Amino acid sequence: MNLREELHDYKNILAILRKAKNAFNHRDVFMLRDLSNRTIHSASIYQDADSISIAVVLYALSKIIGRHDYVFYRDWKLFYKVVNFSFDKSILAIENDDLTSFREGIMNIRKAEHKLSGNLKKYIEEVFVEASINKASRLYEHGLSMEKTAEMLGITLFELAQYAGKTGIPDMSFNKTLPIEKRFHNTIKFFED
Amino acid sequence: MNKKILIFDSSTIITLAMNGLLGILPQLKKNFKGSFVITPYVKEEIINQPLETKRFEFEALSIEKLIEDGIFDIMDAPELDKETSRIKLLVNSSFKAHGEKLKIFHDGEASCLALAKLLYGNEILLASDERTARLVIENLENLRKLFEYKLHTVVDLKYLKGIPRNLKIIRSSELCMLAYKKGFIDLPADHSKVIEAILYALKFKGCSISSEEIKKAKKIFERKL
Repeated sequence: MNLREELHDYKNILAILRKAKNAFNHRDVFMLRDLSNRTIHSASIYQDADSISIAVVLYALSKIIGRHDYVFYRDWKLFYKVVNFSFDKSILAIENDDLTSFREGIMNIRKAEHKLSGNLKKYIEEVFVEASINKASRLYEHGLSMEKTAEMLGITLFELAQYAGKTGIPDMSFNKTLPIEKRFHNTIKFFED
Repeated sequence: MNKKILIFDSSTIITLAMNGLLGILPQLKKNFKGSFVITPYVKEEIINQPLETKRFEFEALSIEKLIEDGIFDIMDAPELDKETSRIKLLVNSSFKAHGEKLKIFHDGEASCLALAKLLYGNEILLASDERTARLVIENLENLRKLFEYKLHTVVDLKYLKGIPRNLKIIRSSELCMLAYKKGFIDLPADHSKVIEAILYALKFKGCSISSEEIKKAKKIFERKL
């Protein structure tokens, strides 16, 4: 399959992956998080699985490198190596218009924990689940419905509701519609005999 | 004769379930001369899917019990599938950014609007804690502005025809306020404190209610019950 036809805004994704690799190697948590957020804009519009996967991967990596103690785990070097190799694979694949290799590279990062053992494996698994919920919450913040978002990220509505509730989404001025007094009045009236 | 029908979206039931407040529904239903209904799509989202994970199994079973006890009716009107697809297509082709249609709706919320449309002529309320569905009904322009603000780009809106725009929406917050007013929730504090506690609990579990609205709700209960 042709990558340049399939991947929306592939030049932007290439730039994001190059910066992300650099940020990962320099432990730049904020840069990785920012790149993940930028990818979410694109995911909101195109709703393609590739943008969503990249957003999740970059956010998860930002959480992982934010915890310095994990460097001391036995498998850390292996994880580090897999991530760098996979970034290179995806970057090269975009340059060579190779969609299959691009997707394999991103998937290898998501599945890197399978190569690990012990607490690091468990931690990284949890981080990826949390990253999916976080990105779902971001898509909901962008205006997509909860159900649409949960479906896109493969999480339950319960997980999303719990997470979204802790964000400032309901307080955004755009969400204002009917005054609560009126809504309560409608409820009372409806339940009257 | 017009019937009173309260259609529940997944979001409202989930918020109540996660706060241990499902118990207000049988009490509210007791003297209510109408029905509480859900669509098969909503049932799939709030029971079948969470039953596959251990984390929300309890909530899913608690909701299933309400169906078994006859609190919720599952309404599967003959035309529901067709109307759900039509509404989903309509909403998902209304907003455009960079020439792309923004697909914002899924089956659950589309089926609630479809059911409301099919039951036209009855007295209907929709219970939805979900921000997007509420904006689609009550203020499409605000939803367009939200997209523009978040996506940093121009978003075009094609006005929707065939959506039940006059549909009245309530949330778990108003249902709980009513339940408290009727004495179905008993907590050891003054009225406005209890209301604040309940509404923040709902907000933190996904109900789209702002802090400003909670302040206003407190004032309602400060004045009188």
